[in-house]
Amino acid sequence: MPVYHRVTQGEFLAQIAAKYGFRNPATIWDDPRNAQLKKKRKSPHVLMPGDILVIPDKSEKRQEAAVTRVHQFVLDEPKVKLRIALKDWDGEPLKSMECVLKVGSQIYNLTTNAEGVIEEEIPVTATEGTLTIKEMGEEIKLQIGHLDPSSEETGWKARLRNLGYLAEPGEPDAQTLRWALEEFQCNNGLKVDGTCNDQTRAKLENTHGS
Amino acid sequence: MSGKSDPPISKATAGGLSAVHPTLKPRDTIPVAPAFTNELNTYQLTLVPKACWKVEDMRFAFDSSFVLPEMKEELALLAELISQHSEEREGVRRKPPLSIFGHADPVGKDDYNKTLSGRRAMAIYAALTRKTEMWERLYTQPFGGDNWGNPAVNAMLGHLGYSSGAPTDRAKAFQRASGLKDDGIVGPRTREKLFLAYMDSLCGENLKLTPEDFLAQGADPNGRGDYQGCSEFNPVRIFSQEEEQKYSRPENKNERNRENAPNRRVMIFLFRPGRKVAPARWPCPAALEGPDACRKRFWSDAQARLANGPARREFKETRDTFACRFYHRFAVNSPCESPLPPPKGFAFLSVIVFFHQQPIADLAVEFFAAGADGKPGAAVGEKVKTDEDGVAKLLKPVPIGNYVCRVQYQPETVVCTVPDIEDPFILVLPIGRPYYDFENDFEFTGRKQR
Repeated sequence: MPVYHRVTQGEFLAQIAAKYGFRNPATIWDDPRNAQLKKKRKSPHVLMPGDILVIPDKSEKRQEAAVTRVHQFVLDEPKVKLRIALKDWDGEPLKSMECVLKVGSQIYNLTTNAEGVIEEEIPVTATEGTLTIKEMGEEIKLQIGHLDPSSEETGWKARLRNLGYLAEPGEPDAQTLRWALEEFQCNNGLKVDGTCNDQTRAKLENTHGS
Repeated sequence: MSGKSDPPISKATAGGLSAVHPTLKPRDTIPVAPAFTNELNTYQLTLVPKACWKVEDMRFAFDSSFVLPEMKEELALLAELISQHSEEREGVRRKPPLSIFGHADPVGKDDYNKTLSGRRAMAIYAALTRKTEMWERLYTQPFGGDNWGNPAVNAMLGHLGYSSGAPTDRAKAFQRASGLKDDGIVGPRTREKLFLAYMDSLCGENLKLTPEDFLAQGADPNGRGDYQGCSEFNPVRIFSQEEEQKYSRPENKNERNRENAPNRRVMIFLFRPGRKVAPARWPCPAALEGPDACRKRFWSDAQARLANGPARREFKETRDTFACRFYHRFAVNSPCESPLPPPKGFAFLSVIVFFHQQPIADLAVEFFAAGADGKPGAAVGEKVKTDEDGVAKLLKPVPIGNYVCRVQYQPETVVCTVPDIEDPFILVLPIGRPYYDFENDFEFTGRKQR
């Protein structure tokens, strides 16, 4: 019997798959019963709390083994790739920038590439981390898997925040939000009207990279 | 009254102030999505000032970019601010990069105001970096009312101590002291020496910057990113329709000019050491360019922001008077553009002096903590003078309590008790009475809580 999984904040496909014991998350995502959700969400790692994911029944994996010996089956800890582009205030990539990514007890010393990007395989169970860019005096607290789809208000606001247009914590007031939208529109050659229309949302998603 | 430490607030002088911006709390945690295929997350830095410095119109010659000697006082605050925000890194002391913004009032044409505000920003930049050739440019290329001319030369000579005798003799004395031929003609060579000596005196030893100390590090020959004029696009005060109509009449020109004074200012923002901008990516046009590029960065409702409405608007209250969206962010939390209210338990002391229903200017006023008997106790703050509107105000907020003020007015000295109020307290000079007690007219205790 399939399980209907209701997505909660912070969950993403690879993590859900690991929870249900799937080695390959695509098995879930490619299930025909998830076709509608697949159409709605561009990435199974950017889901909305409340989305329903159908978890198909697991198929068995058979392994022949000699009966006279002790066999050890080791499951690798499932990993997921985290990619972050670091940019200066004007959108220029921060190249060759040394930074430290901490996820759980793991510490990764990374350097951004020519596009300002860092990339690391992190445990699929990770929910939070910190990224420190010493040179710029920045310590960024990451909530892994918490990015909502850009079609949702929480999602496009999150992208405005990540892109530096909303720099203060908490819910922005009307003028602050208008500032953020207009500056983003202005910097990206869109019509400047301070409202988050489809075009703006699409551009936000595109600029953010997810 | 004692026991409470000074509030952590801006430092003010008669012609300006310096302040630390409120610390921006870090953004909330950043939500990121792990990649399913090859998706990215982007984290972009922000460019937020750490501190600000402002100098008012009164520190410039009228309608001019000539810096008056009195700006020395504000420049001392700037020196202090820069040192306070410098950071030690790998054995190198790094200064906070600066960017200068000049502002004009809304009288006159945009283009004219753009240039005038730019010239004022330039004048300060030149003084800080000792670029005498920039002053020479301002001097030799007058612009509308901004014509330095002899008054500026005389003011500089006077400030440097060459204050007696005919102008030619003063110039000669300066020339002799500077190792120049004493022909008494203030030509380019004399001006170069004069400008430099004057800049040195204004800024002092400690405040000597290089182009690298600015936000764009002098990368643009016209100073983009380092200094610019905002024309009249970012006023801190916008008159009501009624006021605008009234002030447009020629007989009210002086009053309009006075009421517009807060709009004519030069601001400097200080950023985190190490931050820099590429001039090509900086939206502001150069100081002497026209205002077209400014308009590209306007709020979509900029016209409404600049329009005269039914009531007067002040940026510190409404925060909607700037047309430039780019500038708005630098300034919106800046204590230099909207002075912070006094901290809890503190208030500003001020008094208005009237005599025969007329405000009296230029009177010395002293404030004291009130003793138990209501008589003056310890002096509070410096002695201040009443302005044209008869207002004398202590620039630093004081703890709430009872104060006494003494107004020197010949031949009598008037003493009265001042309650702690933000709005000026009106003191009417008694006629023919040496001492006047307000005890029966006013509540002395003031508000306990704010």
